[in-house]
Amino acid sequence: MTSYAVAVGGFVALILLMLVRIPIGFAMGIVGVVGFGMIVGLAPAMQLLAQVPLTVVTDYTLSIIPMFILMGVFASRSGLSGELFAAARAWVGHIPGGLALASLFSCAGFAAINGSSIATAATMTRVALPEMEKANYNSGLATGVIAAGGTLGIMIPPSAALALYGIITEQDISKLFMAGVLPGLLGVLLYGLAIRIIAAYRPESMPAEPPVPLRERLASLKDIWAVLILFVFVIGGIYGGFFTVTEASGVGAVGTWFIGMVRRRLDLRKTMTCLVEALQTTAAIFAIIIGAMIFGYFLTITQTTQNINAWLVALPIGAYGILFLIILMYLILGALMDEIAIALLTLPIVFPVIVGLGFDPIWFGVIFVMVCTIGMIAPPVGMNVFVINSIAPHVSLGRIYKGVAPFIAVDLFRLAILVAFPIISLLIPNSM
Amino acid sequence: MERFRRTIEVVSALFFGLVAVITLAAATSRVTFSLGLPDAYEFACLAQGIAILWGISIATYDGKHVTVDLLYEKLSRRGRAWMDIVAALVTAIFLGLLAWMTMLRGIESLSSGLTTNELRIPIGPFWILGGAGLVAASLLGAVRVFNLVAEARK
Repeated sequence: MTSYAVAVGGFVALILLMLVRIPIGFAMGIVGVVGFGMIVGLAPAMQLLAQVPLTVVTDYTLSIIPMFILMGVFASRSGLSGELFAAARAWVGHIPGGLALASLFSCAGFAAINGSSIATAATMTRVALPEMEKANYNSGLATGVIAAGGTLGIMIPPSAALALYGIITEQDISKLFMAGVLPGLLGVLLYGLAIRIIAAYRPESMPAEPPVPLRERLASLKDIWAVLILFVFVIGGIYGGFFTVTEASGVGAVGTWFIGMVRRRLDLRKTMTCLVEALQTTAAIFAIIIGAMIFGYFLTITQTTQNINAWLVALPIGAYGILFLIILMYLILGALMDEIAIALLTLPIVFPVIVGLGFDPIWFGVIFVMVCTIGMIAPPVGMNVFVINSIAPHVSLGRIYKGVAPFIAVDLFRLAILVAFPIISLLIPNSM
Repeated sequence: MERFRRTIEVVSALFFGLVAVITLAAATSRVTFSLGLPDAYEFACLAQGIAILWGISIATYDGKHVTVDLLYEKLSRRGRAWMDIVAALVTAIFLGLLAWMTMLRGIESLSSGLTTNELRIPIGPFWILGGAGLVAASLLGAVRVFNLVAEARK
């Protein structure tokens, strides 16, 4: 059998295995090892199984992912998200759509101390959804705002997705983090505008609250010191040259735990719960990374990467035409698969094409994450939507998807802006 | 079984926490005293490896791995039960192979005398401890298959 036939067969087998609900990481691992074995032989294929898991799980660079996840879990269990929401509510709750805006702003604030979209959405669902429902918000729109706001978690630094992109493509993670700042803030601005427009046209779906006196508003700000300290500590530590990004993730996790303990929000039992929760998420992610690494050897041996690369570059549609095709592929994949699996599966193929076409690799990191954020909320497999539904099962999936639809439109607009104006992503990293 | 699962969970969580503590200690000592902790980097890596490989066993038993549910959602209750069994069985077999090869590599590293850079502590036992996590994962994966079959028969 030719390498080409094995490669095609491998992709078909991968899709079939994933469709019968074999975990994505293991499906990639199985196809990778069988395909590699068919071309090179059984013994070398088995060697992959011996080497890859230990190499991946003991990779210090990758510890940035579990540590930022742990930091997010500690922050969530310490009630930091609740304080952010209370402060934002005091300031904007009185305007139509105010609670939705408060949810959005607290999502953005929480994203600044947490690198995960799912963690942001899950945390804010527990904090903000009950309050919005109490205020007679349309539950679809309320969950839609949280699902969309949650995606800010992987754009605003620290971001596990940008870190993973940096690791796979060997780009400077600290530059990638800075590249995510303005696109993240643009997201806040555009989502905010969407909320105001919806509130203007459908005021009954997002009623305003009574205004809060200025003294109480100012008082609400004193509760968010912990978030500010953590953000300055972690991000300032990286850019002040005190820590590497990997160190900052570990230091941030312990710092968040310490603040939680000092404020008596965490105890040893809750600490253990946080560790277990973060470890389960980490283990699921690393299972994907292990599988993707094995699958990567299969792609290399079949020269799939080079073949797809050559085919794409030869298309007579120009650099932006190819970029459009790649973004379209990511939009489709993003609606079907987890963003980590997509990154590990596709970036080794797509990244050389992007660089070969002359696009900036840091900018493409932002575009990649931006497309992933759309995948997190788009049907049929919007992870944020699923997470919200699992926490608030009384709001159906269909209702959440309906509520998130305006924000998907906003995200497509933001994607177009970021593609058209790379300076938005590159302004801060280029001035470093 | 639940006690066994809980023990794995606690031990792997402690190793996970250890990664954060070692990272903090190494960074603080470097920034504050310009001192590097010997082998801190390698111990953090090894603790991370052990935590994750044992963590995979818990994620497998609890069915917490990331899956594509497109087809699954369209199936009847019976269809879903059978799909769960097939997926769990394939997962357990793959994890068994992975565990076997990882343990072999751990045993090889014992005889090759691989050590950490500074303190010269043998790495092999740590790798075997990690590999044991994958053995636990395949066993817990098999238990999951039996549980799912038992549930489907009800």
